[in-house]
Amino acid sequence: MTTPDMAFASGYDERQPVLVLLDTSESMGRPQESPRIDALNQRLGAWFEGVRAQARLRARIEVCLIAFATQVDVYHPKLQRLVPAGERPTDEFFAPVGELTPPRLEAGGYTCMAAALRTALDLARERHEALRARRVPVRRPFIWMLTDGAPSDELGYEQSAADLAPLAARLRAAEQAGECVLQAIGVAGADRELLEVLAPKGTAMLADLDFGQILDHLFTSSDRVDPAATADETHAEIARQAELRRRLTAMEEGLR
Amino acid sequence: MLRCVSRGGREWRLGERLGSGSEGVVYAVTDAGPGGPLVAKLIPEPADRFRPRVDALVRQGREPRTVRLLAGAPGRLAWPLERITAPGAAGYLMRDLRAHFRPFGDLLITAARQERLPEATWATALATAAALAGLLADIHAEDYVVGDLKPDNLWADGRGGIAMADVDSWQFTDRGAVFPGRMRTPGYAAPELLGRDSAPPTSASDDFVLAVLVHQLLMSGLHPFTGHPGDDSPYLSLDDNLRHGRSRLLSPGSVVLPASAPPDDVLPRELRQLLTAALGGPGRKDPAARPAAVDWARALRRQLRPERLATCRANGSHVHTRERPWCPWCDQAERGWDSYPGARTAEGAR
Repeated sequence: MTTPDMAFASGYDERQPVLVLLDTSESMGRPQESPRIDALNQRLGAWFEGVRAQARLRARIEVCLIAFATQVDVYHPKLQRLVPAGERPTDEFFAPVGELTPPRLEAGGYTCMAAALRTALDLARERHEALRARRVPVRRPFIWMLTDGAPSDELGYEQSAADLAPLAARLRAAEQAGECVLQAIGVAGADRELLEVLAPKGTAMLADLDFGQILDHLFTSSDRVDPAATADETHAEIARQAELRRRLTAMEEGLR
Repeated sequence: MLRCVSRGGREWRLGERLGSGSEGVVYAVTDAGPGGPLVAKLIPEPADRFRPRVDALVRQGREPRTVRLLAGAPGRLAWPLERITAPGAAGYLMRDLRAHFRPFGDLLITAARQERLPEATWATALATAAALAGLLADIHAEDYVVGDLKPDNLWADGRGGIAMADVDSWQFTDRGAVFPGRMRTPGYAAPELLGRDSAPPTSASDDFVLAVLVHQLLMSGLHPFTGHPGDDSPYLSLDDNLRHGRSRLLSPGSVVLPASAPPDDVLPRELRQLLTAALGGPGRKDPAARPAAVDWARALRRQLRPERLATCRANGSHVHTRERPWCPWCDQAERGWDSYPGARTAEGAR
């Protein structure tokens, strides 16, 4: 049996959607002398440039970038700008990893993490369903959230664990149903406790890795983990890989 | 300047960082000397299980069985030559395969092949498959088991040559001590190795993965267990398709493939029979029923004979088995995708 319009990057590999949520709130503009957002922009550009040499990732991974601060925007790879999620069809927000030129992000505003995660859940589910309907062999989407802060609402009020509980329940249900896997990565002053409300087993504090290493970690582990594993097993495996990466980084620093 | 020291006390300077895998980092050695280019793999301490394994492999490198495997130039294996240490790290030196080979994915993955090895044809894939089977047969003949055979551990020269890295993950015996193979890769594990408490790898589990790789090579990258389930049950993974026997090769209606996939009669009958025996009912359930690497090597070499191959009159890059009266790659191109457009077309397309 065959169906048209299924091949990706002119190959026949299984497809792995990866949604990357990037915190662009005001705190990413700190410290003033070397803002984190500049480091993130630089590493994002370099990483997507470098991935063109990685045939396996190019043949399998499709990416959707979401930037969140007071507002949640999704990167449109063809228009090459950030737009509100509802403005364009979901399929247009996903591009093969080797064909995406990332945007230049700017820091400012609050940290509307919950709204970003709801957007990501919707986009992940819609994309997963759309590809399945087209009978593409697609693995469950990965959602990665990178933040240096704590969740707030759109007026800047900090959110508590109780505020986040309904979203957390929705995330767990989606993971258990095999719709997605959520991993949260905290850098600098990220609030670990609240991240663990959202991703109890999928939170890692990776302040000792630079953004390039974090991008390497999230894309290669999205590719390497066994797609048939449960969400809990996947979180454990990714934690193991993060620990290995941390040890490798410490080793390389010791060598210099 | 990064430095490491081998056990004899010699210091080596490390240059470019070539990449990192799941457990280590590989650097180029800048002062390798007349023996040819070297690279160094380093893993972070504590490396208590890694050091004795490397020492055993270095010692094995001088045993007759390994000397036979390493004979010939360029060598086919990145064997651990010397154990090295660096601050907070343990590792070993090995030959730099980049001198003669490219990552296997450059040949296997269609888009990469057209960019980097545009002159490769189906005959290149067939020759590479024969060389891989020959190498695996030699490895098995000397009582080694690869265990984690997969594209990431393989290198190809684009002219039919093959080489293998990550020898330190092999399963072997040294002075009565067994060094087990523990690594598994989704999509590249025999059915008996799937699941948490699986058996150790064997030469037969390597043979299963060899059949997967032969299928991919001869089908322009297509994995034998890829495809959306034909009964519309949800796709989970290649391994899930394997468990359910979903494969175009074994049961044409069991999966849905893109229209651009190579036609299934690209395979000569003899190879189709071997693939079916390896991946289908008998081979899937009974490891002993699978064709061995040595059987594969013989069959693949037979299909490589000039009288077995035909070249398309319309496109000299379209090579196929003579069993098929007309060109399968032209058929594929008519459906919108050409796996072997040839160097000039690929150049023009860029």
